[in-house]
Amino acid sequence: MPNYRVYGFIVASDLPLPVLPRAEAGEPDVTIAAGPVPGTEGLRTQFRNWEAEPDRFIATFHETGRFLVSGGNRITYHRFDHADDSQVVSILLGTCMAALLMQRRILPLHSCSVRTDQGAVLVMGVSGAGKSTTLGGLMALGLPMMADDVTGIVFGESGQPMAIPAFPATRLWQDSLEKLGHGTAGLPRVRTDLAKFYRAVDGFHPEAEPIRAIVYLKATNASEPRFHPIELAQRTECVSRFVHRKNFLDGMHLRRWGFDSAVAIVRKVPLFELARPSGWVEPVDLAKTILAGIAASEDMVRATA
Amino acid sequence: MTPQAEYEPGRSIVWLASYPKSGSTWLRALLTACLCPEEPVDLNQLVGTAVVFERAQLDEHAAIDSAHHSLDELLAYQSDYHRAFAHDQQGPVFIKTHSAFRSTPDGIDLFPRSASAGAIVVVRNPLDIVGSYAHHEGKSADAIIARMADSEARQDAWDDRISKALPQRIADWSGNIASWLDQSAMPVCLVRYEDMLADTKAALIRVLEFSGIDLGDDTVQRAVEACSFARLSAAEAQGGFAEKPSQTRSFFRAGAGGQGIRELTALQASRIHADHCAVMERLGYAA
Repeated sequence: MPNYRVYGFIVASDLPLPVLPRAEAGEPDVTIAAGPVPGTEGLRTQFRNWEAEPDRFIATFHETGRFLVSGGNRITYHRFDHADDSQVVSILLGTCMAALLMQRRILPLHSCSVRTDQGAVLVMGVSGAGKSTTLGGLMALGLPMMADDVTGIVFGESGQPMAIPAFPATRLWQDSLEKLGHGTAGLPRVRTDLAKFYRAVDGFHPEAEPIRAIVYLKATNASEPRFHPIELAQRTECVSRFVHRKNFLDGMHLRRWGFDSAVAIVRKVPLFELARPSGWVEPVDLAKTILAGIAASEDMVRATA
Repeated sequence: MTPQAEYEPGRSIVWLASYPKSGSTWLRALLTACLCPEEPVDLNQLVGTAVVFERAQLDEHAAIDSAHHSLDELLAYQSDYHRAFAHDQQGPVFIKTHSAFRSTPDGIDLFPRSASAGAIVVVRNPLDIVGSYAHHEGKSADAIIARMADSEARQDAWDDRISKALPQRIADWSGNIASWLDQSAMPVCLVRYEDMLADTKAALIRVLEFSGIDLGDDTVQRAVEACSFARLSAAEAQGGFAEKPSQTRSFFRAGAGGQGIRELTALQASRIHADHCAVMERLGYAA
């Protein structure tokens, strides 16, 4: 099985993962392989297709398959008939990866991220807020990407929050790709039946970086973008809201870890909100607003220090 | 016998189901005024918001990326989420939807009985919907007539991008309404927009009785007065209405009935009749 690198660890997979960079041969940290996975009928929690327990996450995805993530080092999948590779890979790199990160005590934050000369800048927001498009704008300014959709976070020896890079590919809708001046010819699709594509990026920063700032991006009815610091009292809640798949934390007995991580992040990292118009805004303009706003805030802090 | 919503453990949702521009926002304002009589009606705080159709909520519940699933694939996840949402609520919980009543091939309902106490189905003469919908969307009457005949018509659905709201299949006007009237998962209270115009208080009382809400006559009367077209239009002008698609076009446009036959050409009206005569007759709209 070939090895791949993602979030700082080595993954061996019996299913091709075309968007992940290949890694050197050797003992992997995580193995992804087809195998038997028990069903999720009769789960303790009703009305749900998944269950999270300490070091064990199990889920059934309609028309795709059953998945088991265990011990922070193994993902087993049972593919349903007619499910194609893209459907299975989408789950592996999405929900399963989030469960795996938590089992490995890496906080998954629903955010894109880039490296600046003063550390990583993360942009978090709900699906549809414009994270990927904003990422395109930041990269157009020459900033190397660290993550497209989920950034891993760990803490350095001094408690400094560190951004862990994901993989060197963005996922963009055809509309956004074309507006950024890119075509879709030859690009692998995220799903065979969707006009959303993986686009490999040249500008990728593969090492962990201290986090310089986190920006909460939201779409509003406002006619102009508005960038401002988030009130202190709201910062922990804001970060907690964007822990990816935060519903897993209770079952994994990691709720305290998740909360403590969010508190530790806001103690060290400034948090801002960018309220953007819900219509199309040039990605580079959004990116410039973010960077200028962060820089202005840092200037103010230095001036009053 | 007047139908009644059926409240049981887990069955707490009363769906406010309608094809777009049929008057459901007005009904929501009336319900809000009834349930919160001490407060002025705030168009941005109406009961019945489509909370279960927020993409982020479904994604978190089902641990999926809904953007990577087709509308049909999402149905089973949404059905589970509706049951989970309804499970811990005390009915009635009003939730608006423009979706048709849909099911998977193996019988999973998008609006499951086990989550649903009932549905208030608001309908309006399709001849009158055309002008209102065209204004709302900034499109021509012909484009709207074609959309109203499109059984695959969707809302918040694009092939190349996503919105914060989940996509919904609204279907064609006839299919949308028939799907709700013909389903057997939950009782239905049918409300005609024209009947609301003619006697708002009587229509509102019928909705409240269906929903199991017992209010004094004075409260209902004050709600009717607070939600006149003039007052809602003024509220929109003053405070805006976040749910409308354009901030430059008014949401509350005319508040009348019967203007469709005057606004449409003979050809346009004949297209509506040809596309929808069966359901129009069923609802008492002259064919």
